[in-house]
Amino acid sequence: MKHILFSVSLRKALFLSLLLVVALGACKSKKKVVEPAPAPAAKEEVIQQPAQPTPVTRSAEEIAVERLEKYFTNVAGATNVTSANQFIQEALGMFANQEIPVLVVIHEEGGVKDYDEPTTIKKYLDYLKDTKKNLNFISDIRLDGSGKVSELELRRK
Amino acid sequence: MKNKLILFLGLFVATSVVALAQDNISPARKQAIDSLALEKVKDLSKYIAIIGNKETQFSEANRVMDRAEELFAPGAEMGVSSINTNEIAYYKVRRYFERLMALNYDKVNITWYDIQYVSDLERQPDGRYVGVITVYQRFEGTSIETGMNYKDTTKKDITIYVEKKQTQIAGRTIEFWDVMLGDVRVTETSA
Repeated sequence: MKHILFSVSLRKALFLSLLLVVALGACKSKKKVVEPAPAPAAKEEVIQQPAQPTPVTRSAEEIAVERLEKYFTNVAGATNVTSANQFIQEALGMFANQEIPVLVVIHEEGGVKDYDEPTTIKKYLDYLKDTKKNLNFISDIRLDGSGKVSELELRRK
Repeated sequence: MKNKLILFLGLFVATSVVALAQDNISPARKQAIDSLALEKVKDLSKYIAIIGNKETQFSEANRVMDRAEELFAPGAEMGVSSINTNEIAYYKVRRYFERLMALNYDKVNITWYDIQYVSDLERQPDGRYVGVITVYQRFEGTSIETGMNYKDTTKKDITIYVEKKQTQIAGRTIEFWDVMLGDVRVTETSA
């Protein structure tokens, strides 16, 4: 009987020892998982780096205004008729046709616009060439479905 | 009789109110119209210089003549003087431009300066605004073959008409100020 009791105690002791070993092993393996902890620090560094500037998306109208303003300046500032005519032809390529109306606002008051006599883009470009005066800036522009200028409104600088 | 008098007074008051409303242009708007008209005269000076310039190609001169003619009221005339005679000849503007282009010089230089109002734009009973702008023109013509060299300075008065008009653009009604140049009168000629 005593032998049986001893045997049971021994088994219990062995079982407990095994549990202890497993528990220790488990703790050790968990530590291994924890060990790569410094990684998030590296991640933080990446986050702290300045964000890449997102490219500014400009509308087709804004791009057209910039190009056209440049043509107006070039036509008015051309030193000879040949180069002025070349700029005019390039500028006209931006328009649906040569007869696209151009409105020039000379004054605005209380929401009422005062216009100069309406002209066409061909005549306006010729006007810039002849007078060498670029007195107006583009205040409104409309493009058609194919990206060509279909309406243009200018305003005195 | 009393009713007729009331009706007459009512019509008079209504007409006066409409007239006052039409004339109610702010100084800023008037300034913009003044500047617009002055700019048209400056444009004409550029066109005349191009038409008279012997280096201007024929097609370009003709195109510019069209633009210059559009600045004038129908039937407007241009005065031409000379230091060699007291006479002042008047030509329709198109004829004047054609004569200017055909001048028998090898080199022609025309410049306008001191362009300014001598009579401000004033509203007329018909609703139009009328004013006078004065300019000084320096003319220099040189002929290499004959050695002829002519120079003069003329003072010219240009009558300006400004009228509000309407037009349709892409289905929209646009009200605009139509500036028309009238007769160009020579008032002084000197060497």
